Amino acid sequence: MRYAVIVLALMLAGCTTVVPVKQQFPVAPTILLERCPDLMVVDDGKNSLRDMLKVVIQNYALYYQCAEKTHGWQDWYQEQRRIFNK
Amino acid sequence: MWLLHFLPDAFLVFVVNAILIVGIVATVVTFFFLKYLVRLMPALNAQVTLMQVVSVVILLFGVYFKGGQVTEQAWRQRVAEVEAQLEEARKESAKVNTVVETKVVTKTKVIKEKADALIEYVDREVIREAIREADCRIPQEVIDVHNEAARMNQVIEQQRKGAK
Repeated sequence: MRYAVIVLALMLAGCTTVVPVKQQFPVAPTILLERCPDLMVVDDGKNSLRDMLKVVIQNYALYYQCAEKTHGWQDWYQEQRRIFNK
Repeated sequence: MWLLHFLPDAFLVFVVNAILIVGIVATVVTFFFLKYLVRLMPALNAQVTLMQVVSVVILLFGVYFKGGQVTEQAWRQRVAEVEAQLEEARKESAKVNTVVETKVVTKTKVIKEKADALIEYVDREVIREAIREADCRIPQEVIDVHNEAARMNQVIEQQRKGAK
C-alpha cells in the first residue's frame, strides 16, 4: 500500500505542465517618457508688451510640443494594441 | 512532466520508445510464449505470474510515458511557435517606436522653429514701432503675432498637406 501511494504520487507529476513563455511589456520611446515642462512666466522687470508676447509665444510652443507627445502616446498605444492582438 | 523539460528531445524519445517496446515485447512473450520456455526450463514455472505482472507494469509505464512524451512534444512545438510570434511582435514593436519617436521629434522641432521665428519677428523694429504708436491699446501687429502663435499647430497641418 505504501509503495502504491508513492507510485501514484509520481504518476501525478505527469499532470503538471510548465509553459516557459513570458511576454515582455513593450518599452515606450524615450521622448514620450519625458514630462511636459511648466509654462514660462514673465520675469520681473521685463514688463513690456513685447516681453509678455514672447512668453505667450513660448508657452503656446510648449503646449503644442506637449500635445504632440500626447498624440505620440495615442499612436503608440494604438499600434502596440494592434501588434498585441494580432 | 516538468522534469522532462531538462532532457533533450532525441534522448527523451529514445528512452520512452525503449520502455514501450520492452513492455510490449515482454508482455507478448510472458503471456503467449512463456509456456514454451517453461516446458524447456521448469524452474521458471514459479516465476510466471511475477514476470507477467512485471511486464504489464513496464508496458503501462511505457504507454504512460509515451503519452507524456507526445504531449510534451506538442507543448514544446506550441511554445516554439509562440516564442517566434513574440519575437516578431518585439521587432514590430521596436519599429513602431522608431516611427512614433521620429514623428514626435520632427513635429516638436517644427513647433520650436516656428516659435523662434515668431520671437525673432517680435524683436524686430516694426513691432517696437507699432507698440510705441499704439499708446495703451494693443496694436494689431501684436494681436496678429498672438493669434499666429495660437495657431502654431497649423504649420504641421500645412506640412502634412504639402507632403501629400
